[in-house]
Amino acid sequence: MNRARLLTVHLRAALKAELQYRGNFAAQALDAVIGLGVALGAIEVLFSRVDSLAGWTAPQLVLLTGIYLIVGGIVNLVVHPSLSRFVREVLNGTFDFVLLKPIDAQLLVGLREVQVWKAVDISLGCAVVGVALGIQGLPGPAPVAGALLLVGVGACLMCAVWFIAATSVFWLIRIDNILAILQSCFQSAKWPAGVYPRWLRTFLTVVLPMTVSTAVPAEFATGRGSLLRGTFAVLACGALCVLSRWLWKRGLRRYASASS
Amino acid sequence: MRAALLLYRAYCAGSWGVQRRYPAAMCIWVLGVALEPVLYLAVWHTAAGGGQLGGFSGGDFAAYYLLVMLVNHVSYTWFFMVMDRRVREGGFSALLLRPVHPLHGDIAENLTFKAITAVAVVPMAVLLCLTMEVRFRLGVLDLTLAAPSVLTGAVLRMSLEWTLSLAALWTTRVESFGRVYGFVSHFLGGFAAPLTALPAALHATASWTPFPWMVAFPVELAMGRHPAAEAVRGLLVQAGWLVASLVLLRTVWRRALRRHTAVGG
Repeated sequence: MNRARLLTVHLRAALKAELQYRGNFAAQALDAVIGLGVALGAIEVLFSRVDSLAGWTAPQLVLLTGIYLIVGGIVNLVVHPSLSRFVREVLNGTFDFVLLKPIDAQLLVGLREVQVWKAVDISLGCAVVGVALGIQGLPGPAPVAGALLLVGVGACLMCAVWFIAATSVFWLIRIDNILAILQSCFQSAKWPAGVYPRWLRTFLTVVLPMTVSTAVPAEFATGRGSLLRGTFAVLACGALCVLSRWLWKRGLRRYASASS
Repeated sequence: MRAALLLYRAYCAGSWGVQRRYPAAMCIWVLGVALEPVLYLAVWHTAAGGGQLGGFSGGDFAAYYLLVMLVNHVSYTWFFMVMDRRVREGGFSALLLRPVHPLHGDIAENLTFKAITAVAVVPMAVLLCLTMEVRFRLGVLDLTLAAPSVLTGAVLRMSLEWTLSLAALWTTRVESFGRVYGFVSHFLGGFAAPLTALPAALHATASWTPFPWMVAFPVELAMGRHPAAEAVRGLLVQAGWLVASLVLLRTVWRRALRRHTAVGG
């Protein structure tokens, strides 16, 4: 209870700090819309020349884009900006102040900043999914429930990946751009895994499970879900969450304060 | 000239000293930069299947994106990110105290980083060459034309992006502006698709902007997709954009200096 209140306070402060920069604010909104435009534009350009891509039709790919925006929006709303700050703090030596606070540091580190405009991404994503479902029709209650669950699992999976990457700062010290790189790697989740050559597909499923987080729920939403792949997503999510916690604890033990 | 060389040598040595301490950061960075062209390569390669799209076969797409990866490595910058933090946290004031234009330090850092990371980009390119069936027809003439074009494109891109990142002095936060710029250049610059594969209207729009002259045009030259007359015309347009961008850099820099109010004292 106390924790929840503390975190709300932090988030509110972060929100206020973010609201100070109005120019940036407007640019973020434009950013979201252009981002969607680019994603849909790429599909439009592509499907002006072909009828299907690795077995996916245009509406199915639009649906995948919607889910991509939702999952990416969830990660970028709180976890990404918070962890970017954490990575900078370890380098600058101000991480000590976090550790001094009487609350679980991993929780605090992951929830201190908020990029409020990423909520636009999430709503745009929902709208896109809605439109795509309107075109192709609802697949029935069970697949929809599965898809909803798997979107949550996908977001959770990505947050775990972000945490693991950020935690590596304890060993590698200067990796201020690792999260930006993860973001650009996450673009691979915009496309179905089938388009990638085999080595890359394996990499994007097992090492950096980007495609798992979006394509698996999209398969369910288009009524082609496979229970095996769904279970894999859930298991991968669980495993990576545990791994991220474990790594965090090891990392903390290794952390030798920069200021003392 | 000699002074400039000495200056760059000192700057490069400085940033080499810093950057070589963090090899892991560099490997990760390279992975990210190289991955994007690979994604589009995979998508277009799959889409083309055995046929042709917008004048490109699967093998052509592979060659195109492979070259985009290499040419992009020469010219990409992270000025928006640097300038955003620099202005917000007050680092800009210290730079202004030096008797040298801050642009030089940024370019030297950029070049050093890329010289080091080339060690990872080249093997990545080789790996792609081996795993995708790339169709190259590299002619001596094409490469001779492409070399100055790559350089011009890189200088054009660096000066334009540095100039735009100065917007930080007006808006303080400039990273999202940088992302908007990134999106636009992504489409009009031939990253999302080769320009000839874009819809006609978009292709026509692109040719009136500076974006295709940074990476797409040098790549097309290297692939020998332009007849000689068109290639020469393109090189001239590229040079025109370069001059325009340098003039813009000068003008904006003067105004930015007047605009600057120190943060952090």
